Amino acid sequence: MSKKKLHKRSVTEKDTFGLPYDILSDILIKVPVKSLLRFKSISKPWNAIISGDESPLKNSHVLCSLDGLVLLDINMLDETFALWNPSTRQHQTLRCPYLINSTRARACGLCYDCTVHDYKVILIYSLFYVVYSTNTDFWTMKTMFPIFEVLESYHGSRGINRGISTEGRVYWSLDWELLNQGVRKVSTIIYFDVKLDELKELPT
Amino acid sequence: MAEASSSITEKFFLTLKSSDGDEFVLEESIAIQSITIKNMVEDGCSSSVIPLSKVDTETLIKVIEYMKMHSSTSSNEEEIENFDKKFVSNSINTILNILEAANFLDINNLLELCAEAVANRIKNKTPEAVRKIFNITSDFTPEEEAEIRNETPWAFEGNLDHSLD
Repeated sequence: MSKKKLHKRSVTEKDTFGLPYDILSDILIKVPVKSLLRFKSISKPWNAIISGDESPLKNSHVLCSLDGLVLLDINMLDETFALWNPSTRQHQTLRCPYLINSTRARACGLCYDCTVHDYKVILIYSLFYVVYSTNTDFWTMKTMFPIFEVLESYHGSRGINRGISTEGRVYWSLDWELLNQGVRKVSTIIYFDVKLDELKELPT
Repeated sequence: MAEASSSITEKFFLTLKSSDGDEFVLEESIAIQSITIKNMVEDGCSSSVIPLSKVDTETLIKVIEYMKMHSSTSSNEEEIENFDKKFVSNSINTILNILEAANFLDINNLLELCAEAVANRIKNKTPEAVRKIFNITSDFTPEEEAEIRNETPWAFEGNLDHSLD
């Protein structure tokens, strides 16, 4: 279907962005993180919009890394993360389908299951946690047992506790106020064991 | 001729006028996918020609094609899907023009379709190519630009697309 070409209008200098701000944000919100990081170098206005308040990259930072795999907090209001492999230059955006918008992860971690060669992402919320498997592309939602409720996190409302990965486990030293089996605690160490596929508290 | 039809199935038509002065007659039920037009109709401003001073003829033809295809009565899902696929294979400049028109006319699904298409087209491009596509002149000093590159050098590596479409 070839339509008769009428006179062509090229996109002329629309403000400083090349096109109206609203439209540019509509586009950039759909562009992957790696491209956004590259597009920061286009011009100062683009850098400002990409690093700005409404940008998916605002405060985006590396949360954890394991074997060269990097977990990024894209920090959109809807809990979107990205998993990055800088060496293969592949990335994947992660968004747990079970979450409601107001929840924010309190802690995160990466671990590797050598028996099935699977990298997992663990995100811990108050009362539950979710595990993402890169092999299966599935999210599993789990409740903690014994249940502990995070009463207060001293990382501040937007802070996130980053896990330390060792072989088959991720550890978090929590300086949170927790309610664990009815007992208030102000600090504890928890870990995710990849073989058990569970979150545990380190006995003290 | 004297008896004006007052049947409820009566079709209303609107005339849309492009910035180039070309007029297009369109069923109201199709045209009101544009919230901007819908508001004008509801405010009673649509009895005469609706001037769309920000939309040129070429773009308006595309927008009307899109609205016709997406009007609920005439097309099935598969047809719409194929149409959309073909629609976004237009040149990136054409899509950008449609995107601006969709923004002005407030046609949300067209805006989403085009924004997604542009994002896909530019995501693998070099900053230089994107600058050319959007007619942007860099206002960074070479040092400032190098600094940004050095923050995330891996974002500038790989098989990047230098093409302008």
